[in-house]
Amino acid sequence: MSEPSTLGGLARELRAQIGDTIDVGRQAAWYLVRGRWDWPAIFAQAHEIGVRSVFFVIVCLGFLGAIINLQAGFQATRIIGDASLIGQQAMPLVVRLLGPTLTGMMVATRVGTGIAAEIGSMVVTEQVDALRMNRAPPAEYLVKPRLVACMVMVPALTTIGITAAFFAGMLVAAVGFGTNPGTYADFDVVVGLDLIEGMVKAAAYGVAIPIIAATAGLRARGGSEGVGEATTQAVVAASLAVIVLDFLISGAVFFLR
Amino acid sequence: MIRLEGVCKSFDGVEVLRDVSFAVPARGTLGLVGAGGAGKSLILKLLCGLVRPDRGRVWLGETELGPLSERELMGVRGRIGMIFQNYALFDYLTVADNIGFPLARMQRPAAEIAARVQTRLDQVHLPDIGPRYPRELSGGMKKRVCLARATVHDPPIMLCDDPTAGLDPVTTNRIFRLLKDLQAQNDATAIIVSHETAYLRPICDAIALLDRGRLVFAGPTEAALQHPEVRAFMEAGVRPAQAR
Repeated sequence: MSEPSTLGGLARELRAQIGDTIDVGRQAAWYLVRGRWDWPAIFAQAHEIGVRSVFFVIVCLGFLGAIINLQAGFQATRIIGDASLIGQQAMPLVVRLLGPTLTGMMVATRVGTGIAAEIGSMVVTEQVDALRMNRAPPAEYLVKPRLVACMVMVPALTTIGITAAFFAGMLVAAVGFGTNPGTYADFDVVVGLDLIEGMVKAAAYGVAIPIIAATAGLRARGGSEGVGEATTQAVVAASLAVIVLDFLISGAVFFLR
Repeated sequence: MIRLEGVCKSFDGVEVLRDVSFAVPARGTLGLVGAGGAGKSLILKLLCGLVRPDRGRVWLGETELGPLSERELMGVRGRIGMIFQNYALFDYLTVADNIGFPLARMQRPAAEIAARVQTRLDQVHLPDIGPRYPRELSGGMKKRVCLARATVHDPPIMLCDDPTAGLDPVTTNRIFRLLKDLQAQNDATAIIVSHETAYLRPICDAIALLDRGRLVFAGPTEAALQHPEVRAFMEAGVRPAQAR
């Protein structure tokens, strides 16, 4: 996995990377249906991916909720002199867009790099070859537990993150601008489609991030330099996937409204 | 019988193997020698389907590997025990779990796995290290654990990629003796890649010499030792081109 030096080389590398990602995804899907379910491995990954990310997500999304409400409150107070409706403006945005997408970005950064580094290290030390020699295909033994864990934990983390953003925003609105918490928490402004959009995005990120990161790890070559490249590639590709999926799903939901 | 017919393999336009053909009879032992980068490890990976040839055919017994899918290859690999150059022990598993891994993947009962793991640990003279992790072991101990894992399922084919690299002479001697014992116990066919030519000579029925991806010679050990390039390599470890 050397650095492509020309535009043609970059295009070929990109095409190979996309092809490998599709191939790993296809194999992982096959093993989801037909393969063994290694529950201890799945729970271990759920702990690593989900439980160990909770604090990170709560802090980041909590501050995000606070910042949005702070900015919205300043503007509302300055322009119309009333900040009572900032919750109604901020909540749909957090549920539909910022909650799932920022959680996805955080998972891509924290978990995607971990997956790529771990699998990449196994590739360069021939452990992946040893797995293949022992009837443990990497797509089943390595990718599937991470995929299942992400499919469950990313929507769960998104829900927790949105909740943290909601309460942090409510606190800022109440303390900073005197907004009534009851008015702030007007759930009528968040329609069913907003919730569905948020969860569909979270689920899509939960599928894309582990497959992209695992593919980057499986493509690692050489020694520690190769693992480093794989890790960088994983975080770049997974973050890009989060943004592109966000756009595509938002676009699809826009036409459904 | 293991057989390669006209095998060629390139990576990024660089030809690593050129028209390599040889055969190893059932229960035979082939010593595969050559300078670093000659393509020895690649041949072992071709023989277990971890890498596919660009041209040529690879046979394990009556099975040609070329047309097999990855899932079909998994069945074939169950007949092979592979010792990797860099140990390839799973660092997140204990020694016992590493050795029992092939059996666990074959869904054998836990009691049988535990018994066979302990038998192998006794055979490689490491009876008490089952609960330890690979990071706690020396290089020689890791090689013996690797040997135990490669043979725990009694494979009829053993592929050994430099099983004594970086080890002291005493441990090297011990590893070669263990290899031979386990091969005899399993009635296995073995290919051993090694630079330890003095140890290879007495245990191999045949020797093959590779030079920069080209097969220089493959044949019985006695005949190999009469071949000037092989003899030069076996005696001095020099490249065949330098021996001319």
